[in-house]
Amino acid sequence: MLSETTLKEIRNSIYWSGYAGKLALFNIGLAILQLCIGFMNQSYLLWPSIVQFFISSTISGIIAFHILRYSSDMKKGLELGDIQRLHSGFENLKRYFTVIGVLLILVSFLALMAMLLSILSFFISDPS
Amino acid sequence: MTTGENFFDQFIHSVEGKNPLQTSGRWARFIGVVFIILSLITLLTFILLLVQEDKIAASLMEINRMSNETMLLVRGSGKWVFGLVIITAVSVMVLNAYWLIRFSFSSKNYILKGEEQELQNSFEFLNKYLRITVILGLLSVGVSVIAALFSMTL
Repeated sequence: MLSETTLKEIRNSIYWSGYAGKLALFNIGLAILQLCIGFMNQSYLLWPSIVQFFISSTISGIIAFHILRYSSDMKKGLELGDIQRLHSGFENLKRYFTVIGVLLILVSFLALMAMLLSILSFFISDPS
Repeated sequence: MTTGENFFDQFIHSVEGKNPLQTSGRWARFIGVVFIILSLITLLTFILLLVQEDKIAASLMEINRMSNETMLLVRGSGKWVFGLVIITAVSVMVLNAYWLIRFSFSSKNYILKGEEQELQNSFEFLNKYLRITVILGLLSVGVSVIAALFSMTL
């Protein structure tokens, strides 16, 4: 039987993950608002801004979705004793970390490529 | 303990519960290690910038046509404000990495030994990581609100 302290920690993770997910969604909303204001003031270049917004919002949205699903499924699973929901909650926690991990691999790879290219261009432009 | 929590007790000791926790732990460890590498690179870049301060200042003056007064400000208080921002960012990254790695090791130990204390620790570290994510999220909201207000005034 799990102790009350362990259960409290699990309930806390539900609380904090819900909060983190909602904040990420709120941030996407704010980014939409910023984009609209930028267009109204004509201070943004149209396509680069849309592409940049679309990429960052999609990534944030996916991360927010998984952490929110972890929170809601774990909460419902604990309330109703639904094993399926608990399993889905844990799967979403796994996906949340997987998405961040894969993104980090991608970003590290791109950064490494940029570094290699800048070193190469240095040697090409200055062979001496 | 409610009926649902009794079910959780069964679930967490089953393969269905342990497998996703194990994978989460592995990814968390990877993320933690990358965070540590990134913070080391950031710190190293900052130190190199400090060492090459004279050369960078000369280039900035040439490229941006900065006045001597502006350059003095950048090299004086500007340098320390920038340093403070870098140190804060590196500290947050290291702290995040530490909690993610601890979460990873505790969940791994729980899966190997089945000790409840390890499960408790893993969720404790996960909560610490989530808490700092929420704080960073709040900061990001603050910055976005300021940016939106600023762009409205343009």
